[in-house]
Amino acid sequence: MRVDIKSVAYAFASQDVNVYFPDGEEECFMIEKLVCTKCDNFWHTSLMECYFCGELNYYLYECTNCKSKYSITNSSKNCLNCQENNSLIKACINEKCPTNQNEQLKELNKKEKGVFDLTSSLNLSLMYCINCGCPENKYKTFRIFVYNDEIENNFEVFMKRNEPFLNINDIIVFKKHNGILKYNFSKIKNTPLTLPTEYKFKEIANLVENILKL
Amino acid sequence: MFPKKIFEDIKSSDFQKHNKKQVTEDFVTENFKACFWNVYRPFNDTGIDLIATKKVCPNNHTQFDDNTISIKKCPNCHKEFINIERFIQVKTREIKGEEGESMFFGYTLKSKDFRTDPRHIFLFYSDATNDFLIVPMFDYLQFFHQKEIGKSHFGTPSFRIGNNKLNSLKRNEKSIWEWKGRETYSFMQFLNEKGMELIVNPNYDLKLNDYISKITEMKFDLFYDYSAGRQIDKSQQEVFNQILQKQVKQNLKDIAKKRVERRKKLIKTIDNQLVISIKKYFEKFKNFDFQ
Repeated sequence: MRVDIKSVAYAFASQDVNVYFPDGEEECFMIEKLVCTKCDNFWHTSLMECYFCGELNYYLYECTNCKSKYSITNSSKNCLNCQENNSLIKACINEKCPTNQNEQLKELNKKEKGVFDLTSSLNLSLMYCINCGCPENKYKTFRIFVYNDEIENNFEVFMKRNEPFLNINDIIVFKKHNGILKYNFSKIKNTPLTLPTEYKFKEIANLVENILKL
Repeated sequence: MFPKKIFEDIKSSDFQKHNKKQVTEDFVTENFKACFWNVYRPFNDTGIDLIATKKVCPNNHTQFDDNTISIKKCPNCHKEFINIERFIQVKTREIKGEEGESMFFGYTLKSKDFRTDPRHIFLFYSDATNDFLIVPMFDYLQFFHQKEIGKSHFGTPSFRIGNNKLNSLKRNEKSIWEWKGRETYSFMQFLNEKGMELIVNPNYDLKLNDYISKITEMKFDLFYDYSAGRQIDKSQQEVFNQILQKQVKQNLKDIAKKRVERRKKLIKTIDNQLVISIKKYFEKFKNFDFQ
């Protein structure tokens, strides 16, 4: 793969978008993100929530005796407030959660060192969107082709060369070197497709954000 | 024949658990390419081992191994092709057991592996027997949802911990793949060509939203059917299930609002140092504003 395409691909990867490279001849890469079907917010599968109430993991220890809270970077397992030994667990912050209300679940919660302990059975990967609460997610993908003004000098030639590989939903990222790097993009199905007159994006983050909004 | 033995210089036994991932994923990739699929491999660890795409007829006239690369319309019905995408998670295992007897394929799946997109595919690769079991998300969940065996897979504490090694997928002495619990159910509908026929079907793409809803419904039924395991008294299982059902109903209505309320309350009751510490943990979750 061409180094300048790889360079753009890595810039996308830096924005927390999953990047895939073709195992074939196409001069492109693919981006993918799992998103909420309702609000399009990123869906983070490594974020955990409470099995019994759906509350998120806030990375806290809580004292089972006096309810004081501490960061999980805290190395002590003893409560600094009430001096109770081995009383800190990674509990659910929802006071009304069954794991904080039901006597048997409270016992189980203590036994498992809290809802969010690494070996606890009281949590699940995100079930509801962190933004709107929707329970559904889907993959959003785009194939990205790069028109780099330092390498290409004829847009028609570029299009003709890539024609066998292009689909209507693909994106062309236009990259311009003029002292500083600037970018723009266009979807293949926007016809007639021509070189942009304006390069709107100085930051790759804005470029990625706007592509993902499509 | 599918899959083909593409790498003639190696045997599955040449590789161990620690060094087989790359070669087996490449083996799957090359087999898809041999059937004229375009394949994309991840730059980072995303949970997806490859994305496979293909141009197919929207009326399902395309066979999984048809070469559609340079044609735009279905030769059968003249409908314009659509592009389908499959997000494939590969699990390669060496089957265990005595030769000539029933052998099992042990694997684990975690809650984070269950996305609600029907284009997510589990591909179980038995390298010693050169078999692919290709199971779309919808079909996997439906298999367990319909057969009353879901509780032992999804409801258990070990599933949520992520260490529930499933040993019920077996290849019997007659080379038949089956799920063997108290009863036995065939898995042959997912084997090799049969599995490929399932994933080349464009309905997962054309009726994407319908499938997402059905998958979500089954996922919730299966995940929130609590099984006590060895953790607690079995008599409490019913009580916990009642609590869960009530909570899920409520969550589907207002979890986003409730989470915000509880977060605001939390911030008010803890010191600023602790707020900063939580914010740092949330930095990796883009598009989430802790405050």
